[in-house]
Amino acid sequence: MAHKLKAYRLGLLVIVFIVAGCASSRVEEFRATETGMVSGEGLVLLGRASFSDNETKESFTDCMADSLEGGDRPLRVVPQNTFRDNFYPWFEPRVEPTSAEELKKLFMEPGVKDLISSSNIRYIAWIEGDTVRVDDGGTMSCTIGPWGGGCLGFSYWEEDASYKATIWDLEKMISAGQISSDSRGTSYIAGVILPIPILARPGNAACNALADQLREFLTGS
Amino acid sequence: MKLRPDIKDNAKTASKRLFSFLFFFTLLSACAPSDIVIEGSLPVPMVKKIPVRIGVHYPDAFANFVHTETSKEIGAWQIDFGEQNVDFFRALFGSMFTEVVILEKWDSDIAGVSNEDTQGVLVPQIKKYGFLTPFVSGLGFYSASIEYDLTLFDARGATIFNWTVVGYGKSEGKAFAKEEAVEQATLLAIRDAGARIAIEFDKQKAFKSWFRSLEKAENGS
Repeated sequence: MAHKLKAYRLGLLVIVFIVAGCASSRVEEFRATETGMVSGEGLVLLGRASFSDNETKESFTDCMADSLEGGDRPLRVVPQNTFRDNFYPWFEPRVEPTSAEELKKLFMEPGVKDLISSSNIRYIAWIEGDTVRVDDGGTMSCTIGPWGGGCLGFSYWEEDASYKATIWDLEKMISAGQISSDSRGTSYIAGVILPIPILARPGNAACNALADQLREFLTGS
Repeated sequence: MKLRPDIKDNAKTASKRLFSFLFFFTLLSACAPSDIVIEGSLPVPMVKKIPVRIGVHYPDAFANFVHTETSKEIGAWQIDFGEQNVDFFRALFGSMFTEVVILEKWDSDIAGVSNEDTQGVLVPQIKKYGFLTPFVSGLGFYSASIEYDLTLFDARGATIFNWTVVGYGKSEGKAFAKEEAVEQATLLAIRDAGARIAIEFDKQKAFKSWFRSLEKAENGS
């Protein structure tokens, strides 16, 4: 009987973790032209860098790349660091093209168009956005000493992950469209001697939502 | 099961010793100076070569640049650029000009010094270097900036133009890896400045007019 009660409590705790740790996502899409990818064609995800605090972190574009390269319909994703090295200095943060018009000019530079063709890169997806903390509260204190330690209290924080992907078609030399993803989630940490975290991961939710929608956008299925 | 009192006492003493050791080790490691030698690879630019036979002189202060800084907020730092500056600029100028001659000695103060081997002489210098830690900036990343000073002389030692280029770099950094983060930010700052030099050097007004005069002189002869 005691074992059953323990298992029941544990199950309840797991459910609480799962429910409370969820993040909700909203995805929107704007399409300017038809898209499609033939076998062998690839895309590169480039995080927009602005040298401010709120710029796309490499971990987010890496997460998207992992998501796009996996699954039932994997896409060929060229790593952004390799791409930036190969095309140095044209895609460095302060000199990179900011519009499809600037991209046309860039293609006139010697070697750029040829290298794009030989690398078989069809699309560039510019990723902009960040995950920010919008609210927090509660208190928790932890102490540690030679005889042990522990935490007591409760705290929470709410995060908003807002990202946008602007897709450039390198064959048509136009902006093919935009996809945006917005995710919110509240995380909790309860200190009952041991700190028990119940984490929502809105950044991860936004990454997966944006990657899934980008796959649909590019492959049209 | 009850532990024997002597074993219990020994365990208590051992845990106290371990705690004290960890405490003092943490304190000592916080006081240790941060010595960094900048290492890593930087890409070679893909730009149109300027048809000029250029001499490049790397002053000692540039080739052996070391930045030292001590403050209450960040502690003691020594950042040695090592071979990085010269290696990167060799690759940079090598890709920018059709022919590069390294000049071991160069003194623009000696009037009328003639250098028949080259059409111009380029001397890079570091005017300023600085870095910020998250503790100082209040932002969630480490950043570095380098102010390069490029002076172009004609073959006789007269100054054609002087150009200041500032490069910025930032790194998210990880816990207990502040040196690595500053090194990464510094590498990115060198890379950023290099991108601007590669793209904008031949667009400088003074350079354009000097280059036109070179072309005229070559066509006239």
